[in-house]
Amino acid sequence: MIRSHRPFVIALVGLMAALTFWLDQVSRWTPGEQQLDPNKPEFVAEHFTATRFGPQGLLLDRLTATRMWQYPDKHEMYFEAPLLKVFDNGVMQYQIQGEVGRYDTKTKIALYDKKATLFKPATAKDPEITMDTSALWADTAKGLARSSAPVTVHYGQSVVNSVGFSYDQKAGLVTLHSQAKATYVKP
Amino acid sequence: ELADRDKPIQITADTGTLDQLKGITVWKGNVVVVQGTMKVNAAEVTVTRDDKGNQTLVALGKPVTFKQKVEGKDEWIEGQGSRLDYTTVTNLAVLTGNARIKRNQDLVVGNVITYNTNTEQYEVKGGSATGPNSGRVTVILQPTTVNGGKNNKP
Repeated sequence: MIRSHRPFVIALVGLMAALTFWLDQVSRWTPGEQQLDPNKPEFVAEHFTATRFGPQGLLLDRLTATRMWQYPDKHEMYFEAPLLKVFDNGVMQYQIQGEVGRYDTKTKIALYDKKATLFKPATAKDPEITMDTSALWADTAKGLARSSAPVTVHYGQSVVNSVGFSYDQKAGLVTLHSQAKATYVKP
Repeated sequence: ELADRDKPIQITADTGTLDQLKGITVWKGNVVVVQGTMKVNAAEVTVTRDDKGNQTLVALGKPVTFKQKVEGKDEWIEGQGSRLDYTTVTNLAVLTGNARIKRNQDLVVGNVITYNTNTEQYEVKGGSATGPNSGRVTVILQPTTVNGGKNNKP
């Protein structure tokens, strides 16, 4: 190769390499995908209400919170002052309110890390039920809830206390794990 | 006392299970049931509630013990047995299995003792001839002195 052409060839090869690298990068780049800080929320929503409807358009559940946020690539959503209301045929079955909470969109598990209150309105057969505890785990798909912390349940005028409980909403079964105490007042 | 039945029922235990659909609550482990002056100690207590709010209590233990103050007197009726059935509809407490009831120094022993918490009367049955005490009942009544006091002299 004539000496005088060599620099040109090298430059040409270099340019081709750069062009190939650039095209490769561009073809791989997808809009919106940037390196996000895993410790900073990717999404934040303030004062929101999320409602889910069933096949006939009837209310299934409604979640409100003063703040919700989610971290990049994580299934868990974090809430401040979450209030979850669960309905059946448009009639509210129970609601769970907390100070703070987490919800895993994959496992459908909700965790209320601080104060949590479960409220079940009165029915023809049962009086109003409220349950207060300082930490609550709830499987919203299966209608299960449990806590290992002290809990107080008001059942009409009657009061039940225990340390740790589990509740199966579909089976209508409440289990008091230890130090169970009930004061039953005839309605 | 008669006023007991209108008092709240307080139950403490190691664990408790409430079946809302059936209206059945099961308490287990060092169970103590208090209603006014009536107190029951048992290993396990099952409380069933009907639609009208009436309660049926079944207590099991080794033994189950209960005591209740006599209406208007400073006396107590104490009973024990392997099982105690009590219902707020009839106010009957039925002690079954090595049952005994004591009031002051009077003692009644049999297989089944039915105690009416209203009338404070009790009825005792011996059970089968092959059973304990050969199916017989034992009643020990202390003599009453002329002035109506108990003759406690040895």
